[in-house]
Amino acid sequence: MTCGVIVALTACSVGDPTALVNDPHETANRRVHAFNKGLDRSVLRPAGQMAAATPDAFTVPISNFADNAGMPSAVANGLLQGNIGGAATNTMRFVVNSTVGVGGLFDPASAIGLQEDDTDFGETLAVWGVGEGAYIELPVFGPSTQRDAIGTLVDLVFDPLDSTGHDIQQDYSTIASGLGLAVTRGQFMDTFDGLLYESADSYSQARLAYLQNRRFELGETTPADQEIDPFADDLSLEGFE
Amino acid sequence: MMSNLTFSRRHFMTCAGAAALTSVLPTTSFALNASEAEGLVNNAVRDINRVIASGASVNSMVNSFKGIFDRYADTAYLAAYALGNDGRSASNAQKQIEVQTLAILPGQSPFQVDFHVSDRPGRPVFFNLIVEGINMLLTERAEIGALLDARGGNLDALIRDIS
Repeated sequence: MTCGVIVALTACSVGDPTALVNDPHETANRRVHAFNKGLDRSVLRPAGQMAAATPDAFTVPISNFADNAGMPSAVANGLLQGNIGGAATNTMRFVVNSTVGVGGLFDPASAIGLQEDDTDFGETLAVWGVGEGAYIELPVFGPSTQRDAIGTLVDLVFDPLDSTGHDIQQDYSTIASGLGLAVTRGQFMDTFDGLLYESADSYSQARLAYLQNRRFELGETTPADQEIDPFADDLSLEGFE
Repeated sequence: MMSNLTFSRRHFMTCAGAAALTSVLPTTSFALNASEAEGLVNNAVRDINRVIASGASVNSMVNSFKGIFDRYADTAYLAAYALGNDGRSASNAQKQIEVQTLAILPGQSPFQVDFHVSDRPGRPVFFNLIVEGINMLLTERAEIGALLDARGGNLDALIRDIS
């Protein structure tokens, strides 16, 4: 058993994204959230339970296939972002896994150090300087922002897999992504259930988690003046110690 | 369900076998430095792994985790922050340090966990945890805030309901 530690040490700069939640459509968003929760309860969660009970030998190839089918889109977005290294890695991944990896069912690319550089058109827009916009919860797709909603739509409509992928990849990529989603839901069952069904306000928890995680992925740090400071003047510890 | 947390860096540190180190944290006030913050994270991860590896019952593990939490975390600060307690100031002279770690769980992509360490109570303690950009303290504060809102801001009602 290994339990090493610590990657690096940096000076602390802690953001407080609550100050930066921009949600003018909250009423409409909450309605969509209620719909999405119903969809999770009736479809995705049961599918996740089934996936969790299915041996890895079946679920892992499905997730691999879905990931691999998303590579041409990631390559295109990498190029649009000027991320040549990422685009090259993803291209090699697609080639290796589509051939040696039997159409993407297996992931020998990761074994030889070609780690996926995941990206999408939402990130491309961010790189191009488009602002995040308002928070939006999309039906089916879930938490998003105006920028990411456009990104999701563009990635759906313009998928380079249509011109670069094998027939089988084109035919089964959508169903594989759906199944891959169920696998993920099953893998993180407790986390999703905690957020959706055990929190006092699942809408605001989902919003908070999504915005912070997305900004982290995109390297969009919150301003330094929004720090959480354990010694801040506005926090009284009286009665807590 | 319980998977063993493994954290990695450039140098792996094995912690198999007998308890090698006992962490003795100074109780007097001192200036926090990077290696102390790093040591705190190392010790906490080691203790957590040891509890998980013990194979004890879930209830017993929860108790052990509570002990670890009391030992390594700034519980007074966490509670005050989560309740959104506004008021007067504490001292401003202390330091805070971020210790970045990479958590590696079997069958999952590695994910980044940042421990925020301060010396507010006069010894190194965690006061926040950031998992892939998600601020756990903020998450707790939002949760407590929502619980309070649902009770018209009545803290006594909240205490009654959760105890």
